[in-house]
Amino acid sequence: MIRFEHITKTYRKKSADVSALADVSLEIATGEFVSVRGSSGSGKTTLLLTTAGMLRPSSGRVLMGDRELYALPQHERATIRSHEIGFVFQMFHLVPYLNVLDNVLLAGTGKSSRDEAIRLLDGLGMAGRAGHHPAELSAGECQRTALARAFLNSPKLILADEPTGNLDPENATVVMEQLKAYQKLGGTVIVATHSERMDEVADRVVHLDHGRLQTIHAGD
Amino acid sequence: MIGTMRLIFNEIRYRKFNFLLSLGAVAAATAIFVAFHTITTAQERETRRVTRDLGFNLRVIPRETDMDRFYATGYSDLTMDEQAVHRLVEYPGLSYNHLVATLQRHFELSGVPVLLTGISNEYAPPGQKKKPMIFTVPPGKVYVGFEVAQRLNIKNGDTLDIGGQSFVVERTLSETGTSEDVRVSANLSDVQDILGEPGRINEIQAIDCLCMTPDEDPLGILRSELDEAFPDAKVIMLKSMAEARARQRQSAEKFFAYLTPVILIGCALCVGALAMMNVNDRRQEVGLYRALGRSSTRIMTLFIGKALVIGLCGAAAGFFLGGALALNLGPKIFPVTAAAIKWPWPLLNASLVAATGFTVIASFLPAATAASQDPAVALRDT
Repeated sequence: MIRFEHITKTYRKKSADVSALADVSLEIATGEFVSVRGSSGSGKTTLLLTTAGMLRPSSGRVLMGDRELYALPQHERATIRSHEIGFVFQMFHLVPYLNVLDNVLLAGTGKSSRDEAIRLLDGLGMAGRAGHHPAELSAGECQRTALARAFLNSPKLILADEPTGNLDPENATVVMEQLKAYQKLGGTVIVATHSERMDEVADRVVHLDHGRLQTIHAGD
Repeated sequence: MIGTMRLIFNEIRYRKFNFLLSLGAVAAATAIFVAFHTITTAQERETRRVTRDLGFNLRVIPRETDMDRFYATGYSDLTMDEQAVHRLVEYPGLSYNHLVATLQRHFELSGVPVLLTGISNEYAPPGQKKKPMIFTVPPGKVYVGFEVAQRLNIKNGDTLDIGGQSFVVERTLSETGTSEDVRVSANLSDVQDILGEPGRINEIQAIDCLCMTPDEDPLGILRSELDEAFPDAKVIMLKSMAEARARQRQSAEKFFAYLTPVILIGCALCVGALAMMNVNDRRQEVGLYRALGRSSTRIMTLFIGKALVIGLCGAAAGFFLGGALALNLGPKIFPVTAAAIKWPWPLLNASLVAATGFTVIASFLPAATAASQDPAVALRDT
């Protein structure tokens, strides 16, 4: 279970302070698929980065199970990220000088094997592209590679930031199906998106507006 | 998991231009260092040779010599034991080189006044092999100065009667415009016989490197050394020649001392700026590593490892470039000692260590910047 307790996050800018999250309290159950919806600048990415232990909130607590995330030292939060969290980004963030297989293996923690990476790529229809570099891939293929990388360590939690934002409807469907399949295997999925399509697969939809949690309702 | 070296080499292959520019900066710094060092060494050698060829810069004469007459006639009226030169050669701690004992007197040859000079073999301190600076005249032979040869119409191979002894003219010398033109040089023992002064000399000529800093008093040091070794003698230094030589050597050292740091700082700034550009290019990649839970140490290792590769490759390339430059230019600039300019192999290890260390230091700040980069900021910049 992930619990956000009165989270605020304020970015200090030269001209004025910008409030990205304002008193957000939320509980996400293990195995739940949550879609965080909102327009650009609503605080979706900030919420994901805070969940990942990468962005300390200005106030409030983030609890992952019984661990208070920001009470832990940085290296322990890094260990949690490498073993328990998988990331998917809108811009894929593939390393341009590594091929598809190596990009997947980049998330490896030692226990994960090359065979596992190949199996994941195969499952995503990318086995034939394992030796290709990101520049040679389509956007959909890039995102499937990023999904394989996120799934490699069998993390408990997947954080996806606009995972379908750069994809055509067909590839967006593939990504949504993969995330749903991952949830069905017991994983927790949090997706930040402005797309209504994610509501089709989400258990719950959370709306953010200027950093404030507006409405919470069950998915379609 | 991907190995660090694999990441480094893949990144180098991908960002070839950045790598080549960094490599070029390190190679340039190393090449300039190696070339300057080799050429400066060649310059010092050339200066040494050229100033050495100007002649002796030290004259050791009997202590009681009347200096007014010495400067008027060009030699001491007094004599000392020929063994003095051997004592001087063997005395430990003296820095003289090329010691030669002479006996000089004004002499009349067929009505022409000449400076008759007996020259001993040249001596070097034990353990120092030195190429002779002057000619050695074999017994029974003479070298005749230009003016004497002209006036007496002497040619090579002629026989010359000096003080009742017969000598073969080994060589007539070309004009120098100095007292050398009125000199007749013979073997020391022959001149001692002619002058009736067996086993006596009136001067020991020598050369000293005078490798001292401007605040030291070389003549004072030489005199105190000689007082201990040879209390019956005193030393005169041909100061202008000695100082010109020391100044020349010091100016070369200064040039090198000022120029090297300027070049090194310039190249360090280039390497640092390129490393910073590289960090900037890789902001999102670093953000990804942090998102994947990689430690700051691992991220720094990627950048420092790359700096090591650049440093080692740049040093090796720079060494060969600088060496080739010195070997190509050196002989043209310093023709007298051209043959002594060789590949500066002793600088290879120093170049590898120094250039690599220098590259790592220049890359340290950018690497630390990368490692401390806020991943959230990098990942949001999409």
